[in-house]
Amino acid sequence: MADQGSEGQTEAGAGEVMSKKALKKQAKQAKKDERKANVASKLEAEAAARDAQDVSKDCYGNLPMAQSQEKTDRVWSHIKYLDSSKVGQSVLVRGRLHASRATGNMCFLVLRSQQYTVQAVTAVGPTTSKQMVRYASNVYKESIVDLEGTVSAAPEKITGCSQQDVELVVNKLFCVSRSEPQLPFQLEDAMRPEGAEEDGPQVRVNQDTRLDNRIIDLRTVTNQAIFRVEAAICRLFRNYLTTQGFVEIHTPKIISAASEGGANVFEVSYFKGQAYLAQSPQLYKQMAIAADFDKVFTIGAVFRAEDSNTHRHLCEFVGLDLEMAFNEHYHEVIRVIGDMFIAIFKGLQEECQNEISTVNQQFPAEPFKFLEPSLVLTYKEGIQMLRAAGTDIGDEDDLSTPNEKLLGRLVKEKYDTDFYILDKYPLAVRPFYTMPDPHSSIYSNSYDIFMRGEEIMSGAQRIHDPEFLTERATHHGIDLQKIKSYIDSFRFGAPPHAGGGIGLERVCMLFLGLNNIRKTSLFPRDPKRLTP
Amino acid sequence: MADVQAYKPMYKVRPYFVIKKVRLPDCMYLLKPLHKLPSLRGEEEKLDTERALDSLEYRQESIMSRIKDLQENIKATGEKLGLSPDELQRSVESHMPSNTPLDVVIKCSPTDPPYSLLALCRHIKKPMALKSFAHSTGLSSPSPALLSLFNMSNTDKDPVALKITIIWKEEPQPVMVVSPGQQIPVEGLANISRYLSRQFCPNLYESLPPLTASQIDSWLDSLSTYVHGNAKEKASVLRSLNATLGTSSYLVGDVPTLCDIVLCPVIRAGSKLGNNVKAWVKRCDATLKIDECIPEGLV
Repeated sequence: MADQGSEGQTEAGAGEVMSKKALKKQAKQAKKDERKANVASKLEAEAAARDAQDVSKDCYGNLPMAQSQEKTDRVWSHIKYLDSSKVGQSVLVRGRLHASRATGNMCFLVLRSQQYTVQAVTAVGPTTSKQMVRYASNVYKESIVDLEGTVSAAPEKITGCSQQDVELVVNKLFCVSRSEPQLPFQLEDAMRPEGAEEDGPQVRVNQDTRLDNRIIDLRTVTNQAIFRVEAAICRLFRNYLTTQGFVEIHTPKIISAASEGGANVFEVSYFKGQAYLAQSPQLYKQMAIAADFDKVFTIGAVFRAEDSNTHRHLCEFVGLDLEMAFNEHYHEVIRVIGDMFIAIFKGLQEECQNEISTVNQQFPAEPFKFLEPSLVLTYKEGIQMLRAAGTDIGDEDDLSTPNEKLLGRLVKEKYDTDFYILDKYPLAVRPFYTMPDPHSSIYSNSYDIFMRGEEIMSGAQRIHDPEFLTERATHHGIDLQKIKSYIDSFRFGAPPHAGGGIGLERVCMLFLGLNNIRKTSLFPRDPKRLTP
Repeated sequence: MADVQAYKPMYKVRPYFVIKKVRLPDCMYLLKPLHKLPSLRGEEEKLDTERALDSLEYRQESIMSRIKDLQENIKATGEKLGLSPDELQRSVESHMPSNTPLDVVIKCSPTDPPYSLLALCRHIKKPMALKSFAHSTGLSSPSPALLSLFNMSNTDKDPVALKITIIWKEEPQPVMVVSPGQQIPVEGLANISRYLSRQFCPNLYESLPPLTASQIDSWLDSLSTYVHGNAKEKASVLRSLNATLGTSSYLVGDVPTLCDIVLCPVIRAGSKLGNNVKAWVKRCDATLKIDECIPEGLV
């Protein structure tokens, strides 16, 4: 206002005297503008100079969103294959930025691709500008980057990375997909071994946090290894049984009535009525045997609405089930199951040794031991061993979980094996369709399989005679109407058969010696967790 | 006059000392006879045995008092731990041989199979079964011939008195586990043979007279020198074997005993056996059928 006034005054009378104050203010303003202009021009000049000096202008930056713009014939290498044989070559790798550390004119990057990490270094030099080094140190962790660089031999072994002999000298660095700066937790914290060195950070990530942010948790090297072992177990199960003449079948999961009386079932609304999610493929496996498939196995989801929050129960898990018709004695089936497990364990030992040692780095455990052929003990012998160790247990009692663990430890001490089969369980503790022992009224033709003292499979010879089955069902007080269709499946001739089912997650957990089944389930479901 | 006869002494004192008949010396220097004449020996022996009996009695008394002390000690410890006297008794008796079937696990290396065990099993009259398993950590898996040899049974009846499970894994010497929580494992083939023969064929070892049993013991101990010792020690064992077998047809006397059964399969595989040893090996093959316990290539 005052200026306007003074300006008005000067404008009104050209050459008229302006008030002193106004003049001073004008001068000040002019000076300010001049200074601003100077600074601006200087900055511009500097920027221009810098840009002119930026030797690596086209060698770094954020790429536009990849919408399949073009097809070039560039070849990407996997970090897994970078070793001293490739020294001197220029390679293009894609990976996640695991860590970056800037010091003065250099920046160290660690690039991670699944289980493999490699160190890359970029330093200010004739071909690398300061801007590029600054850009490299500012890329957010976990972003996906494309890095073109030269493989060079590392002066000394890089212990923090999986590729210890080489490092990459960065020529080009582009960011393909940026990550947000704030991660829910740091991957190093998630990978830190339990009870590590006393010095240094002791931060661990809680299991709940991990499961809530499962996508980031699954990126850790250990988790990648765990699920590769689990995939191998499934693959070996399938391959071995196929070589033994088994046929893979897929059974329905939406069923009309609860099959086994034991576990609870999930209800679903089925059009205008109700249906249930299958607790086990038992009924359909047996029907397949009655339909002359002779030897079947099935791999599929199993739903149990058990309200138990333990370290080894899930509401939904993957069941590996098998059923086999035999000629004389159900021990033929036990032999096949034992041999199958031996094939799985041996296959894991041969093919997944790297993965197993990776898991052991974060979760140390004793290597898994087993005997060949599989050790089969009778329930009577097991009870004797427990009694000799001081436990009070009757001949027909079921084994409680602490007793199972104690028996596992006794067997480990005596036979030096983590895997054994317990045969001839008492009839009183088994379901109604279990075939009783012909020579004894107390025992039945049923068996349980244990790994590291925990039960992984419950199996038996099934009753294939409809009249006998009706008798046993009545004896157990089961409503015959509900299981009418089950009994009917045996009316038209059914061979004697036996089988059992294992949980994939539980077998993986016990083989690797982990302590919680949620570690081996990709997106676990339990009474308290429904997402992700 | 009559008063003198009726005189009785007032005080009577018992004699302090009895004057024995003194033998007057008729010889200047007296030496004990150097060689024993029959009559003198009898007397000396009697004195010796008396002295021996005295010392034995004394020793027995001291042992009894020590046993009593030990019992008091155990009772006191039992009370401290809160065990009743019955439990104490039970825990002491639990590992003594009884009529319950014996179930043992023997871990041995496939490069050094315990053939002596098979030889011993042939002498066990009670029903028994032997089964083999290969361990997962085993770097050298046992050959099928070995597995078929070490899978035997002398009966089809189900409740066997002795069940042996053999686990093939890398072990410096065979180890036997009987009852994991209560007994430490038995190490060494000699000790395993002793344990099993005490339970099942005492006629080969334990029930023989103590002298024979101790001789068997010393031969069994020489087994470990032979297996683990250097060439010199091996040679010395072979020499003593040769010498002993020159005078008797078996190691202890003329009847095969436990040490023949245990030592023969081990010794026969060696080289530079003396003639007596070779003859003894042939004899053992004939009577004990050792050659049937060893696979074809190694006999």
